[in-house]
Amino acid sequence: MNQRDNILAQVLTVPSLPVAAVKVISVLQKPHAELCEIARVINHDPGLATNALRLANSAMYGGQRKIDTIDMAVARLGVRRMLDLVVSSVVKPFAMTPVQGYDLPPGMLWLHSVAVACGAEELGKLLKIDVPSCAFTCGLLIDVGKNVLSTYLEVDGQAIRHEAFEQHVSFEQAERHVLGIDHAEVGAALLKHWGLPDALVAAARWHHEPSNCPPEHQALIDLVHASDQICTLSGIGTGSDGSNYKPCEATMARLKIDVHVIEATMCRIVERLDALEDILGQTSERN
Amino acid sequence: MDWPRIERVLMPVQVGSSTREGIRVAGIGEMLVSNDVREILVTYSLGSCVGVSVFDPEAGVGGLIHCMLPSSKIEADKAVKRPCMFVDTGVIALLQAVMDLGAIGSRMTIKVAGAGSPMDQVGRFKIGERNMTTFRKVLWKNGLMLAAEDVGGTEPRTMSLYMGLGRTTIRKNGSEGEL
Repeated sequence: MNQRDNILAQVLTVPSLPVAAVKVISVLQKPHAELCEIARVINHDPGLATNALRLANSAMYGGQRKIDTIDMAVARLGVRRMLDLVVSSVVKPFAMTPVQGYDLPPGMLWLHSVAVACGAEELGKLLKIDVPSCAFTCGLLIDVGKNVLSTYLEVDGQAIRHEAFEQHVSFEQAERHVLGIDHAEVGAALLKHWGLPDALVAAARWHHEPSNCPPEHQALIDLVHASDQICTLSGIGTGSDGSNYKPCEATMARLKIDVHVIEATMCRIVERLDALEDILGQTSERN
Repeated sequence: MDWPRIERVLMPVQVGSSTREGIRVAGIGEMLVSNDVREILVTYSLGSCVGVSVFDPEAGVGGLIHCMLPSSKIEADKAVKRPCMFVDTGVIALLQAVMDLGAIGSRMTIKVAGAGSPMDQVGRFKIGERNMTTFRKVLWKNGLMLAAEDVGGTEPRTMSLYMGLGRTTIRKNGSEGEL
């Protein structure tokens, strides 16, 4: 078995997501998801129910009236935020682990993921374009492949960094040269293994090569790619890979992104992260 | 010689947090000042952001800031809340804070790191260069000299100011060196 196959086999050993979470995510993906159906599924998972109530009563969403039932929490948060909440709840423990091959201490990858998620939404607002409903969730998930690869990068991290920085190739290309696979493909394999919807799998798979993605996901993946580049450049939750990635010019042209949009997005991401701190908790010993 | 007066910034300033004993960390848009020889001031993950260290060996006073964007004019209301996020308001706030602790401009050693960029970019992502241009303008306007810099490229940097000796170091690609 070559190293690529070995890594893909490793992906299949990652524990599955809780059944309730997969069920909620699948209900939330329906175009006309019924709030009562979502509430019913969430009610069966104490962890998700607690998080939903916490978020609904947080400073960001809290109204004057205290929310104490899941039906009310779902109504206040809406379908899009419920999807973000559920994915955050199930993926955060995974993403909070240290990613040693990338020199990321506990929480740094999660910080980066949340920043990319917020950035995708903020970019959409700044550019006055419709943000696909799962953009935030996609942002949370694009780099989960790093968690799996870090097991291997503990051994090969130096070789990949050398290839990337000395040979001047992008970090994901260096991963492919050294390991036979990059973190984007590994992440997509993991999300597929977890049974998550196609859009989320595609965003993870193509977030460094947005021009190769299926056309139906182009708008989504353009936003996620641009946000990832902006967060990486600004150093939010970045590891030893730094900003050693290539922004896709075609994406930047499609979105009409200029330096002022990038700066405004950076500013808004930091503001969003500040506002989310009481929900996310202290994300890392760094930053 | 009369040292140019640095314009005061009457704004709240985000102060970095303490982690392990003696090590204090400035996050994005935060600054730290110290006159304690036991302390190490650190800022991590400098990408296109700039980290600036300032040290007056005679007063034993130093400071460190992590600025993200060049100009506060981009979001004036945010600059009021977070002046250290921007180079133009943040560096002034840092200079003011170390001077309040007894530092004097003519004795200061000022160093800068970061200002990185992604690969193969033609202009859209040149935030790092814009940060450096603004930083140099701030120094020039206040008659201050830059002692050392480690800027550009795609590698992330960690900047540390060791208050005991006034050393500034940069850690990148797994090794730490003097700046």
